[in-house]
Amino acid sequence: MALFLTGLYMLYDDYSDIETFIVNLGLLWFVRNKKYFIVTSLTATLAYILFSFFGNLATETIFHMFNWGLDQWSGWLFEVVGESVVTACMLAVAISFRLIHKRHPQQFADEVMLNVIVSALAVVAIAFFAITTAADNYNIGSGFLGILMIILVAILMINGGTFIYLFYSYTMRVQAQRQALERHQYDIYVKNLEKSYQNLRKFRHDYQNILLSLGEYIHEDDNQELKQYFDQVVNRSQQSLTRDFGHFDNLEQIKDKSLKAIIQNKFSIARQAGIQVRLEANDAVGQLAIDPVTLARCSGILLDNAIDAVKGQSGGQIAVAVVKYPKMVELIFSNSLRAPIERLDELMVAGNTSKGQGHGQGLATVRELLDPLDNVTYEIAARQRFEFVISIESE
Amino acid sequence: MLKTFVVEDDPEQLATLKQIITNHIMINDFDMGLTLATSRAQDILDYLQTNPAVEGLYFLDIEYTGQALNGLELATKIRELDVNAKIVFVSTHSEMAFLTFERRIEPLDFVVKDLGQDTVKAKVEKDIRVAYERYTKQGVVSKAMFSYSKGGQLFNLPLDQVLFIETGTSRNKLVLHLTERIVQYNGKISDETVAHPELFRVHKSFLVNPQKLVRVDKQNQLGYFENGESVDIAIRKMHDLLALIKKSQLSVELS
Repeated sequence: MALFLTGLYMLYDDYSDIETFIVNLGLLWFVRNKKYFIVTSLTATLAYILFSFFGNLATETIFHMFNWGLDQWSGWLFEVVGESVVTACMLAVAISFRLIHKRHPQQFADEVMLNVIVSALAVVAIAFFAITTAADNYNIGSGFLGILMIILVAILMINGGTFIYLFYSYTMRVQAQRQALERHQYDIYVKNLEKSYQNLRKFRHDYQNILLSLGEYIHEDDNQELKQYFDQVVNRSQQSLTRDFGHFDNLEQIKDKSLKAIIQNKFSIARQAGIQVRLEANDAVGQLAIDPVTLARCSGILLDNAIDAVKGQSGGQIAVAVVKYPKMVELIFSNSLRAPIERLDELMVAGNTSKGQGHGQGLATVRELLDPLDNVTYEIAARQRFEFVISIESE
Repeated sequence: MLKTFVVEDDPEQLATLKQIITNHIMINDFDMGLTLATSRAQDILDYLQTNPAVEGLYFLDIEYTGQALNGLELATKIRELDVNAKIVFVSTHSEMAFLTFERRIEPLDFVVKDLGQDTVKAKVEKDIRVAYERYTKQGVVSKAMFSYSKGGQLFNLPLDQVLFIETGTSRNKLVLHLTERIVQYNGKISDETVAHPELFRVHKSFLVNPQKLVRVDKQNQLGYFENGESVDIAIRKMHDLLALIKKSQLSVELS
């Protein structure tokens, strides 16, 4: 393609020589992916045309500046300077193309964008050849031709730019609309889920109490078989009732969206790893008096640590409690421990990770995040379990 | 006499609990009595308002259907009226908020109903014995307490858990080192020195519980605790500290 286009152009150009070929083909070295072949070769050809046109002008200006006579050098110096200016320009185009490709790979992977560029370049190329042919046939001056070229390119660029802008803003708007709709539907879904979950919990509470009081009557009775059967039933239902309820309990009490999202997310990860999780939130808790990003980072680190620490344990447990006081909310993150932690103070020091326990990582970060906040304090404890408490006083 | 209270809204379960408690008191001949067993949470509060200084043992269910109070609120009010109350929660596993109750109420124990009647009976009986033991020893060793406040909330703990207080990395924050816990809270070390005369200021940033020191390194001016944590001791305070150790006959190793 590049060969063909260059050859075509050389029919019209007096200055062309073997170097033009080499430069143009050298550009192919930069093109490893066939997808960009058309783009690059068209760009190269057009750039060559433009640069050789302006290169001639530039070379003439240089000669004029140094007061060199054209005839004195019988044209060969002119040729050398001209070609080197053109070559430099071409190389600059090729290298910047590579750089842009590396910097914005996404735009290059976009089929629409590629098509737009290819068509724009093709239009410019065809227009140029049509104009030159016309100019040659009707004897119009080359200066006029140059101005025509510039105007044409400018119009095309403005057109292309407007088209791309409109296209992208439209897609963006559609996308935003779809996301808002999805979020809305998700909110409705979560609300429904929470409501049915609450109903389920109410039922479980009643059911358990009925079983328990039924048990009192049966144990007063003398019927041994009935007792045995009842104990079996209670055992089985007790297991299924306590086992699989942990992950959505009390989530509706947390109104702070970022905290809710992170607990939901980490709990589902923990459950997939076979860890028992538990959320305690006796009272509804609204927006907390702490920057949501800081809170999300801290609780993320603490829950990740907890998951890491519990992963290897059999019967490992993670629990989060949101405790509300009149002027304060406390978040308690806890997990069961395999072995007791001797030196709590060392856990908080950066770089002091106690692998295996898995608590050192990030605790220093949590400390760094919380230390500057006036209304936030923390506690760390390791008795039967590890516990990190964040106390957020309402301002 | 150690007074015992039960709140349970299910009549059968209430009857069972009553029976377990009265039987166990009778068998062991404890100086205790089942003062009130009720299905209404408000009854307990009414009793406590008319009878101050009870220091009782309370067995509480957590959810009372159709009543204004729940177990947590009831326990909070009981703590306000009866500071030394020994509270045991008796409920199903799904209703227990272990972390929350421990933090807010510091209960004596949790009894999980769904573990079966025999387990419940065994746990209730054990809690009665533990509570009675504490009750009888109360006169002998009156426990010194330490407290700190956070967000308008007072947290109490036995003084013998306190190792030392240290100034924090940021202004107005103190770090309280306990045997199994590190607590950051808002305060000034000079105020704490005045507020807790039982602690000794060994350095401008350290306030120490001298009872818990196990070793003092005179050469390097360091004080060590059982878990290996250490504090700096100022030169001009060293003399006073050594004098205090000698006077109170503390078992501190010197080197």
